[in-house]
Amino acid sequence: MGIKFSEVKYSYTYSKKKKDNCYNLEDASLQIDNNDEFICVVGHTGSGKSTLIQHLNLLLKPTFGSIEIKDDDFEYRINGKGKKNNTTLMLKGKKQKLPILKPLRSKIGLVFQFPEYQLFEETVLKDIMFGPKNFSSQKKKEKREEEAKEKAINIANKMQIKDLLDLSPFELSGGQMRRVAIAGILASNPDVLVLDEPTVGLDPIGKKELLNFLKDLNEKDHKTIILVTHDMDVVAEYAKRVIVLNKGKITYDGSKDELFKNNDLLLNNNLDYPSIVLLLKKLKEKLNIKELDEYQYNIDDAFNEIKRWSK
Amino acid sequence: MNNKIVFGQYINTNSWIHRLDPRTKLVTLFLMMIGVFLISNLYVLLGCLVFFFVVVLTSKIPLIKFLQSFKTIVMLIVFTTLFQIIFNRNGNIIEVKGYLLSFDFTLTWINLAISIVILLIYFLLMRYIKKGKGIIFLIVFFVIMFLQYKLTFGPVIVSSYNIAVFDVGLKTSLLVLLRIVNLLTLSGLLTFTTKSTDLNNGIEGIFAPFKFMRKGISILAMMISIALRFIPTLINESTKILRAQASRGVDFEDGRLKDKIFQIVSLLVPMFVISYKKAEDLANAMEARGYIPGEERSRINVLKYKLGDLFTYVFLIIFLTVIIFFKIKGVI
Repeated sequence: MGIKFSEVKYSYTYSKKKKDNCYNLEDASLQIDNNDEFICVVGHTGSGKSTLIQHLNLLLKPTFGSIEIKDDDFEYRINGKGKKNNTTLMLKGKKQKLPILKPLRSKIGLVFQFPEYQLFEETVLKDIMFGPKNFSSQKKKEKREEEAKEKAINIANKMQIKDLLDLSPFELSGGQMRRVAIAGILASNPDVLVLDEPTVGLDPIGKKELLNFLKDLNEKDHKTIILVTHDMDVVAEYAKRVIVLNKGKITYDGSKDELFKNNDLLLNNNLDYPSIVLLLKKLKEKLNIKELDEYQYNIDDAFNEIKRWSK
Repeated sequence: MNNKIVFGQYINTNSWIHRLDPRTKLVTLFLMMIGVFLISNLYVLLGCLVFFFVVVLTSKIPLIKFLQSFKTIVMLIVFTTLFQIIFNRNGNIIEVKGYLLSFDFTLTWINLAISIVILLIYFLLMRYIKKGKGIIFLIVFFVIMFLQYKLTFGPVIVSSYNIAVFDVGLKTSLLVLLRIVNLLTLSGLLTFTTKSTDLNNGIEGIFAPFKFMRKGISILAMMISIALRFIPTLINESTKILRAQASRGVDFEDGRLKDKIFQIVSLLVPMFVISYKKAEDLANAMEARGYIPGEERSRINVLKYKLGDLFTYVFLIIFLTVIIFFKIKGVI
């Protein structure tokens, strides 16, 4: 899977007549190639994070600029031309007349904020089956159901929600609902999973569980995870790559280490240090310890670093 | 997420109509609508329309915005007018330059076959055409009707049915058309110049004298204002749900109609859940701030009649008297 944005601009209220259109996303260029990236998208409210990730799924199409999304089977190319845009789709090397988006959406799963609201079926099982059923290439209805059911049960086992399958989604607690909703996206087995603040409103344990599950997905199944978050602790612990957005522009794209070591960059984008780094920084300053390396991103590392110093 | 949706059309230009008391506007527009329905003379109706448009111009609301609000019911207007013209067969057939506006159509197997072929081509091509579907459909429709008018040989299915334009039919259709446009202009005048909260206060104010059922009125007014307030919120939520379901493979754009109907459930159920939840939250929030249904509440903006309102009422009385007077006389 290869995703390439070249100078993508997007405006919700674009009009040719207006001279100064307000762009919610401006000149966004980025490339996502590797199979096991864990990208965190950060930026304060209204910086264009949601706009950016909706482009990945082509729920929004660029006003200007182009997007290329390539996989083994398909190749999408979208050129924004003001209000219109050109979408071309190559399926298995053949150019398609109608650029349908289903193949793309089955490969790039998008989990919106508060995904529990998208549940609607009678049972959890049926709801998880909904996605795979829609994306299935089987012509016969029975086969489609069968295939979807298999996938749904598989993912339910993986996410440990097997005992919920026969319940109605509306009987569940908030955390369970969110797991079910995410399972509904994962069931169609996407290569790239995009999540918009999946941990908002979850209790600390639920949050940890979910994030560790995503980490497992990333490390064991080699799925690319793109995570929109406000929480710098999450960035510190999980991200391999960080994209910072500010007022619709990508102001940083690189490793977390470099980001956290660059004080100005953090300040200019209204970001903060993760709490562990903050703590070590304070320790270093107050106790005047020069040899302590404060850039540790989880508790174990921090502990080891302090241990190393104390010896 | 989507900033385009503005409900209630309110545009603040601070004109004299904006400054009128909402009660005045409501009463005036309601009675004027009744007045318009009393008129059954084309020219007088046209005169009213021109007058209302002048009023719209004085309200400084951009005329284009005003006309755009008509867009949604253009189809309704066109169909009512067309049905009146076709099915109202009273009076005489209209003659244009010695040529009667009356057409005989014959449906034969031959032109039926050609029509079906044309329709098939139309539906096949429709997949690839994005713009101007309506116009192309109209053209196809006229071609098919034209075939039935000219190509009348071959085995007959339905023999010579007639469509003619009669003078009474035309007159009634124009009457209906003018009445609808008049009503739209009047209601537009209200919604463009009055905030929904003002409208709500106005309704409450008008019904205030009915003290014996006052409780019901204030609750009703609150319900209306809440309903209006929540329309944009719910539209926002529904776009979110639509997008969420689209990423689960629901295709509301290019999918087949049959699939779409089943998939609409995936939008409706979440919307119900969201509305209930929002309603519950709102009820709690209102209670927490001391709202008791039906109890008397003080308000920040107390409605007061001003000089402009007086003039409007005077004008309304004159307008209605004139109409009723001439109606009794049988002139209009």
